[in-house]
Amino acid sequence: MIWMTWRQHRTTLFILAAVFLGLAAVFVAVTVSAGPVSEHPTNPTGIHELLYRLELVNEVLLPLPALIGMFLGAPLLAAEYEHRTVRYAWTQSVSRWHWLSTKLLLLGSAVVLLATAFSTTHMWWYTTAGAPHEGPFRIFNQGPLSFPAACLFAFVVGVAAGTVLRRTVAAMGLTIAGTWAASIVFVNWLRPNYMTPVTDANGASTSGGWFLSQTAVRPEDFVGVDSGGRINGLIPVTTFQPADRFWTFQVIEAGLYLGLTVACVAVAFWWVRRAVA
Amino acid sequence: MTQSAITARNLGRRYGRAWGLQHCSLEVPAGRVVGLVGPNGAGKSTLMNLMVGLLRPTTGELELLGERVGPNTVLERVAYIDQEHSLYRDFTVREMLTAGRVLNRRWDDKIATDRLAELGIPLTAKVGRISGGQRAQVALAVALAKQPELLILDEPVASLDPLARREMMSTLMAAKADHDCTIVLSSHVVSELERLCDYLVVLDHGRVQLLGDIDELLEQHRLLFGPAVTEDLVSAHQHVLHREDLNGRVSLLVRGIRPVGDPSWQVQRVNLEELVMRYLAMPSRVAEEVFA
Amino acid sequence: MIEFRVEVGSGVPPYRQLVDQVEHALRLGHLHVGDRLPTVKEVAKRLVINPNTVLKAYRELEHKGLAKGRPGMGTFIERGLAGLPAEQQAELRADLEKWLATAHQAGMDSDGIAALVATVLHEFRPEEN
Repeated sequence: MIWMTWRQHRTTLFILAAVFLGLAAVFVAVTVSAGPVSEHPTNPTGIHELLYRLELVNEVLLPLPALIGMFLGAPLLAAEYEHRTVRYAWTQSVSRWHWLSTKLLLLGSAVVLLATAFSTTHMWWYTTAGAPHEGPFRIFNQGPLSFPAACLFAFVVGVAAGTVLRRTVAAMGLTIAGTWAASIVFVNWLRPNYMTPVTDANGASTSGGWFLSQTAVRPEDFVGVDSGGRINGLIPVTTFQPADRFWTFQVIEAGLYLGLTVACVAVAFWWVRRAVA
Repeated sequence: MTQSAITARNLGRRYGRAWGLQHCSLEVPAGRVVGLVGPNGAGKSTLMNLMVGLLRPTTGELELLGERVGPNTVLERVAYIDQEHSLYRDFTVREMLTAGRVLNRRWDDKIATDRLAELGIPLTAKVGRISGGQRAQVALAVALAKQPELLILDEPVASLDPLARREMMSTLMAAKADHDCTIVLSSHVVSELERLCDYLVVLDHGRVQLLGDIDELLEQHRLLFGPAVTEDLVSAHQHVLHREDLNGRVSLLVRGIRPVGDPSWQVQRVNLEELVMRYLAMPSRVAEEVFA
Repeated sequence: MIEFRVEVGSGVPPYRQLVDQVEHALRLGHLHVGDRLPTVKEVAKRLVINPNTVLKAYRELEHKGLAKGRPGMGTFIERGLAGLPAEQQAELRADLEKWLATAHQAGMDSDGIAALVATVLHEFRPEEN
């Protein structure tokens, strides 16, 4: 089965490795050649500026997990159904459970390794040569724990979609929709609430934390330590997640993605078990 | 080797409301070449899919080679080739053999490589690039290298031209002589199976219409031709399964050989194709009573 | 070595056809005692027929005492069938050819000749003496 997995998916794996390891190499090269930026909050320049600008367009890096789901996950079973090779694959000595679990384990491991190589080097670049002063929350999506988990999730969404739909293109579409919907839900509704946000009336910066909102309240409605700051006679109140919560949040998000991953794997196995080839 | 290659007891498979196969009970002795015959949609593929575990039965039981069909059981002793000879088209022939080796516990590479060398099919060719006939031969070589005790072929030559059909079946018959296995072939063309099979299973509308050793079946049935006016007198002493009107004369398919006693009646042997066609034309009820 | 042929659709089971052909060949002197019959695999492969059918035919020949299987060597003709000596057969054949030429000259085609021969053969009752 190891040989089969390698033979059938090596082209996709090569391409994904080229993308992920290529990006990782860029971040390593840039970080090593430039060295750490000063403690001063300055705007990045040169290649850092280019990378920084790309970072701002978050969508550039956001679809990476979806790519894995589309090109590695979706065809895993859908292509076998389309070419009817499932009738060959599932009538050999190896059971369909063994067949599916080996593929998921091997390819899932490859996904996690590649994604981790990318996300750790990316994190290293960002916190040393990129824009460390902006705090780690700005690159939360590409975080060392949440990113590989999101990639693994996208992979199994693709597998489950392909198992159910049996059409590669349709499964790719469902994979995009699924991963996109998941990321919207995570970023907008779940992530801000992993822990109760800190409310600060100092009007001060979030000091590298994740800014959520700012309001102004009348002094008579205000409860807490008033530092005396006023804007038009109102007390400015900032709500944010402090920077030191980054790793806790990473663990929580990775855990949630892994939970969804297990659910998708369960769907795939259940469907494969009762499938008519 | 076990005595029975295929045993089905009240086997049935339902698709939604319709039954693809129903009340199927049969026992096929090992070592036979079994022809599975019936019109399109008669349940041939359903039965084959049940055998190789691609379908699960709705009712009843199915045993192959004395083992219940299920995951990790009998499939290592069974090989299956579907109608399209489905193989990985982007694999080379040699890679297809490697796939067979890694996916199976029993595998003899030499069986496949010898056969392919004899047929002049290069191992370096891509499976998707060779002709349909050669692809069928690769599928057969891959199946035979598993050293199956039971080889199941669903309409194996339906998609091939006459020459490729002959070559494919010639390889299959030679393989049967080399390795004593049970072979099940399905077809909707009876004449195709006449020289290949020695055991027959006829399905229609998801039910078994006729089964048995072909030579015995031919011995057990006769066609009687005679004038319609004396039909009642003659048929009173015969087990008539089916009758056909022919302009004042009738043709009766009878089971068992009993004297007719009327010189205006002719008794003839029946060939396999006629026999099958007559059984397909009779109501299931009649056929079931014969084998009850 | 004998070349087998099998015709399907005749109603005669293929194994019966093989047995008949061996008997014919023995009568016509095309097969002799000690001749090896083709292996089951050779026949199955060349005629594209079920090896079980060939086996059944060979078993039938053994049962009749006409052939005998020797393990690892093949199946050999054990006993001949009473046939005419070659010279006498050649004489009869020449007579038949002469008759055929006459029939042809009279305007009969080969189908007509075959039908006539079949009918006469069917109705022919040799005197028992």
